[in-house]
Amino acid sequence: MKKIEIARIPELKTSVGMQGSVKHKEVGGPVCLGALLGVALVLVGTKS
Amino acid sequence: MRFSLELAAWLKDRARRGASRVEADALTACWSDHPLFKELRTDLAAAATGDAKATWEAAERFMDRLEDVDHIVSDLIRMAAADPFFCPPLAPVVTEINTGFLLVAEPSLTIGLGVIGADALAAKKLSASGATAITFTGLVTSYRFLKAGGAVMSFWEAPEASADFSSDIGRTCRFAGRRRIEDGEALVVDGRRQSLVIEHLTSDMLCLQATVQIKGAPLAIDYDSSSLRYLGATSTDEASSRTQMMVTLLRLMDRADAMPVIAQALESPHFYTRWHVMREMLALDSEAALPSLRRMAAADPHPEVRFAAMQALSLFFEDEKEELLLCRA
Repeated sequence: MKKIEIARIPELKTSVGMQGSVKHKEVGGPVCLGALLGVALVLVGTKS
Repeated sequence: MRFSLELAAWLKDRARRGASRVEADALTACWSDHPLFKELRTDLAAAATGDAKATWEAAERFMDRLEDVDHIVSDLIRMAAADPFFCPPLAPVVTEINTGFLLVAEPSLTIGLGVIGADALAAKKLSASGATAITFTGLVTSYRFLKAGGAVMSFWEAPEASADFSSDIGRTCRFAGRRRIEDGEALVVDGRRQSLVIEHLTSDMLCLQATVQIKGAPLAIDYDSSSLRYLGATSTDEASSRTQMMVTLLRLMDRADAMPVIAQALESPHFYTRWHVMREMLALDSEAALPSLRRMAAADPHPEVRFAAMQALSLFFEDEKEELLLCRA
């Protein structure tokens, strides 16, 4: 079984973070209201 | 100090701790029969699965019943006054500037009630350094500003992120206005194309916020608040993000026997999930992944995935490299 080191495999030019990973430095200046609950939901989760 | 002593006494007293729990459970049972929640449950059940409009209408009806929401909050205040260690049976929503609860946490809909502190907001803005972001959540959100706190908000617009999204096309967002929000005002923000930012508060803001968690854009997008240029993207699809994590875990556990199951995730509608899964398959068992990699290189609907797949074929499979060269010739 041949394996390839994951770091050597090409990545997409458009990088997409996982849900709730909040890549940006969140709103140091302005505060995005929509993002507030989203960030909190990541912490608490929702019922499934 | 006094509070610490009271807390210590409560922690030592098993009966009191139990009583606090019983109070919270009793409140949950009471709310479960409350018309506000009962009717929402009926509305959500009646909404066909995946019906975003019906879900949004159910949220609007919930938020229109402010007297009932008042009763819920009154219950919480009464219970907290009677027992300082009463723990509300609601998920807390706490960030640097927001303190609140989730009144509703269903897979298709969340409704939060929170206070945004004017002082905390001012402190956050004063301490700002480095890049900041304007976020387009990808989801439709309804707001009821019960106490607007003298808020001044700015409004922003950007093109919707679609399934063929690429960071390569010089995306920007644009300013769409700024105005003061009044007490009692209702706003609907389509996070696929719109965003709003609190610029300033003169007092604390009390806000109900309902977010429809279905039929959103596939991505949440951040733009730089200074240059207005694209900063980054995150998935709005919890299931696909969990799939990615599970596939990575299987690769780390060296579970090549899971390849047939992993390969099913290549059918994801999200280009970033398809390529994530393929990378993990190549790392786990490249020979087994080769047929799928060939198909991706030839026919994946997203150009970046096709390009990455061709790169991988060329880099790691000598025979395929020759084939690709022949095709180009």
